[in-house]
Amino acid sequence: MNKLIKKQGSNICFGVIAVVLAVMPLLYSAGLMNSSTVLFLGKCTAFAIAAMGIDLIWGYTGILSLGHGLYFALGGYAMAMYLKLQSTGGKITDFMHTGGLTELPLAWKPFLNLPLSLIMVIVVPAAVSGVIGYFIFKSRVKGVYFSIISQALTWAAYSIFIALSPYTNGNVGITEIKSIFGSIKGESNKSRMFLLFYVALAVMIGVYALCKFLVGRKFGKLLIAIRDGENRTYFSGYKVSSYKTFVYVLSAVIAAVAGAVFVNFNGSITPSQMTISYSITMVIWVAIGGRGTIIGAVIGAFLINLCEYNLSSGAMVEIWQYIIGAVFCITILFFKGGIVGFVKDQLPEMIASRKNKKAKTEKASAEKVKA
Amino acid sequence: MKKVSLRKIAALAASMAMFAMTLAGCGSTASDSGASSDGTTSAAAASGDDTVKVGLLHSLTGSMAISEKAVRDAEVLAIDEINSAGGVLGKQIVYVEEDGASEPSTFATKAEKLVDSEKVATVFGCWTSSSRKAVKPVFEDYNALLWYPVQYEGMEQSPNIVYTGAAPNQQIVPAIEYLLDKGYKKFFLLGSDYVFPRTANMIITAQVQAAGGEVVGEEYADMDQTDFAAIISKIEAAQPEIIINTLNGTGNVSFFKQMAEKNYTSAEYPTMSFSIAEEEVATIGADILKGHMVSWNYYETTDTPENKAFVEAYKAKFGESRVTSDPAEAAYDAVYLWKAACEKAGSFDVDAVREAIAGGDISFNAPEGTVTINGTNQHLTKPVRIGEIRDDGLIYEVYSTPTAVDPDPYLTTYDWAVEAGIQPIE
Amino acid sequence: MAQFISTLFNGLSLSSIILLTSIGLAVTFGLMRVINMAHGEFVMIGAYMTYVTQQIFAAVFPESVRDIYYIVSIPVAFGTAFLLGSLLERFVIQRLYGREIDSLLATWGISLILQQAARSIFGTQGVNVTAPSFLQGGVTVGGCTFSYNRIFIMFMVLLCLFIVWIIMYKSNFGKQMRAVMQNRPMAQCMGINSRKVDNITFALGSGLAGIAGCSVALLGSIDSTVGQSYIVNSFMAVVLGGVGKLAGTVLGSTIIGSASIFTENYTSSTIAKAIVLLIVIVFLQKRPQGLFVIKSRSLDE
Repeated sequence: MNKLIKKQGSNICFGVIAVVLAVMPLLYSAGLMNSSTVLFLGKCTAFAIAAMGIDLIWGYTGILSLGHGLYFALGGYAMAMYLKLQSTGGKITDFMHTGGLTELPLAWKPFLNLPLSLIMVIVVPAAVSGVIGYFIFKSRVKGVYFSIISQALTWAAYSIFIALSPYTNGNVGITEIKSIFGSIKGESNKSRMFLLFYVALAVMIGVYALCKFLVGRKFGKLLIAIRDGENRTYFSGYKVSSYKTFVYVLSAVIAAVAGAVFVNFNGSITPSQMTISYSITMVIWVAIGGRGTIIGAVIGAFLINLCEYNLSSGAMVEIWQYIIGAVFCITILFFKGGIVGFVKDQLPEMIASRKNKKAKTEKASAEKVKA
Repeated sequence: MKKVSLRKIAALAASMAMFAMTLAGCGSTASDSGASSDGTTSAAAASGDDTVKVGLLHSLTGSMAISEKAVRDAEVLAIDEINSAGGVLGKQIVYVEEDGASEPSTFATKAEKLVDSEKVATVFGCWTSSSRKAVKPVFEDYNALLWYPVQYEGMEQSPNIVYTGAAPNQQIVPAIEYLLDKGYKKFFLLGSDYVFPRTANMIITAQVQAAGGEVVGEEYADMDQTDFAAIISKIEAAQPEIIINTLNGTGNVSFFKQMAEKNYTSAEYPTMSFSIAEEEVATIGADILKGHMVSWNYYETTDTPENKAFVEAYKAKFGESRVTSDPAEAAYDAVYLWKAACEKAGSFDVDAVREAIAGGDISFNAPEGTVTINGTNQHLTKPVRIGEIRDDGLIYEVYSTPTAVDPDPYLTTYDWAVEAGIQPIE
Repeated sequence: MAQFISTLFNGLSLSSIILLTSIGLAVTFGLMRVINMAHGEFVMIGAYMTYVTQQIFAAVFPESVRDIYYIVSIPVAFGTAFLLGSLLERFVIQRLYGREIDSLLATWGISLILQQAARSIFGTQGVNVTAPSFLQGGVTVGGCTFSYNRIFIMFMVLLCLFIVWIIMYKSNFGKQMRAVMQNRPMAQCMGINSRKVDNITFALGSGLAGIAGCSVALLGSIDSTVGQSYIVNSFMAVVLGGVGKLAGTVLGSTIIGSASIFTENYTSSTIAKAIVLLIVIVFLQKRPQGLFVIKSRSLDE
């Protein structure tokens, strides 16, 4: 039993989370839960997906990207463009009209049909991250340099999205869209909401399985090798830059899928999803949950977002900022492994040392008695 | 192990607390999680006991907190006043406050939480157009009511939003008319790069051109731009007679400080601003801004008995150094208008309140003068005032429209606007 | 011609502002390899300290000497930021040496706390600092106006650079500092108190950010988010210039500053920002270590 928990701990934990999530809509049907809470959990599911992608690249490969918000938003925009065209019936949108366009711009044309849009959700971020990753990793930019460059890239992309307002609607983003299954809000659309929720859950499970599959193989070991000794991996004959680019693209695509899921629940996408602070927030989820564990990313994403949802209101707003800052700092300083690392490594260690101590004192007292 | 234990225990305690809070949070999502900050007791639902719950939704953190705090304070003031005067329909108002964190998606999430989980009777909130656009579908889908207290670019009307700030024809259009009457011909349009300036400038261009004037330049600054040197040289090159300024909060400060650096005052480059109220004057400095023009519906100096009481109450509650401003006043009005609508409807039910509003006779003797909700487009009929900033940091009225102006968010009653085709497509 | 000179001046001025905000980074990031995401917040602290000094002067001293407040605020801002930097190093940064990426994340948490602290103390609304009369306006020569404030900032930058240069290359402490940064164990063996050196170096970097805060207080808004608008440009300047070399940071800031102003003359500011960042990123493809590289035979730095 103990062995099973140790070996399959993270899978069991993920299973529990998935089951709890799956039960939520039923609770809502029974009147024990609000629809807004279910919808929020749907958004959290999207965040968890994005966090797993970040865990792959940061936790396993050791590359800290402060620009994953960009890919999250690219996926979100791709999805939102399709949904927006659905609601306008393929005609131009009002912001295009305001921006002086008279017909649908070429960039929007692929989003007229669903399969092509879904392909674009994957292809656009993959292409962008592929180009960026190829050049950056080829020239062996690494460590914090990469972080700072990725941060600047996001900043630049944010500016571009705002400047191209006739095409992107500037900082308002794409709003007033329904989900891929139609409207999901309100009592009459409950079945659609459930469908969307379970699809999101399935996507999350799929991404989890994919990540677990990848890191459980030699590929995963290689990623860790790159993280812990990049040059040694080079010398062992592996083309590190290709691996890095691949992981970067993969995690970008995962973030984009998350963005696409998020849009369905949120009903809008704005450039504020591609800001630096949003990107760092995503890293915070992984750091607090526990990097390099996949399950940690999921736990972190849910935990932080649920806390924020419940605590950033009323008088708690001010205190919440201090809490999140302090918890984050403390996690980085003392609990490098985050929550998962704490439960897996530090907690048993503490228990063991206490037991040892107890045993020692008992022994000592026993000896005393003997003496 | 022994040495670090204290540190570890402290950190452990912190993380445990986090855990506990999440659990508590998850458990209480369906019940009352956000108690109002003033220690007023939070009630479970609108009906039942003798309280009614409303939501306040503003950015208390992030870049927009600079502006939204004042609006939020004005709403709290109005709620307190109403409560001490006996409440609405005999019920005391309690408010649940949520932080939009200057992020439209957060606004949407929190709006949904307020109307669905917290079951508030109505919500007062938002500042930026992007946050309003993000929450609009939420209010429509749940058939809830939002009171939006800020002047905006128009081109919108939702049955689930009451707009208590100015529509473009109650701020922008009269201001440009005033300038054209004064003989200004060469306009330079300067704004931050977001939806309000872009739409406002589209309207202004149409209006100026129809009147035979000329737009000699149009520039947009980045949202967090700190250096305006390049933009100022573009203005110098264009030689405008008047600058129409739609920059947002922090941009305004940088722009005017850097204009002053180059020895430019309102004599060389007069400006007409649509986003500078008393709050902003305080952060930029009256010495720099004196002589510049603004257009609003209300100033702290507006001479009505209601305003005297409002300014006194505001300063008494939040400090002598605080100033009232148009958005704050519009937010204050919103609460009272909601009260009036509820009283006419005889209930807090959204449909009943909307029906009462549709009657077109919900009005309030506001600090700015009497305002009435237009029954068809849910904007306010309100007076328009052109003001000039003076040495003491206050804004004084130099012109006001003879009567209150009816709202026309789509500018359909203006021939030049119809000709230019600036109305959104259907 | 006048326009060209004016553009040149604007470019230099922006460069000097970026440089002022990045000298501190060049010290903490360049020498200590600590990515201080809270650097922008130290700029904010400097700006708020200028405001506090102004308020104290307005309350205590007669009208005639009030302009001196700005001169006084510079050491006050430096001192406060220095002290806070020292505390931050003692309690947080010290545990993160050799963990560059972790230092980035931990200091992000610090920056959240500092921003909220500013909101709690000074309110969410911005505050205003009035320029002292000797820095108001500017001098007009041949159709170009050179503002006193911007000229003052340029002098400040030169002064800061000079002082940092003296400290780093001419003082005994500087010798210790460079020794610790280059080879920590060896320096420790020679009897250098590396903890103290680290602490003072980091505090110095933070203090310089405080001085930058003093300068930007006269140029724009002072609120809890002011640091965020400077931080990306500063990081880019340090990375572009090459880590560990002051000359690199100077060149990096100049390139970014002038490129921004020149591109903005032909496009909009949003596009200009994007173009400049993309140019820098492309440039880093050619020289991933920046313009100035400290030659080293080690493989893993």
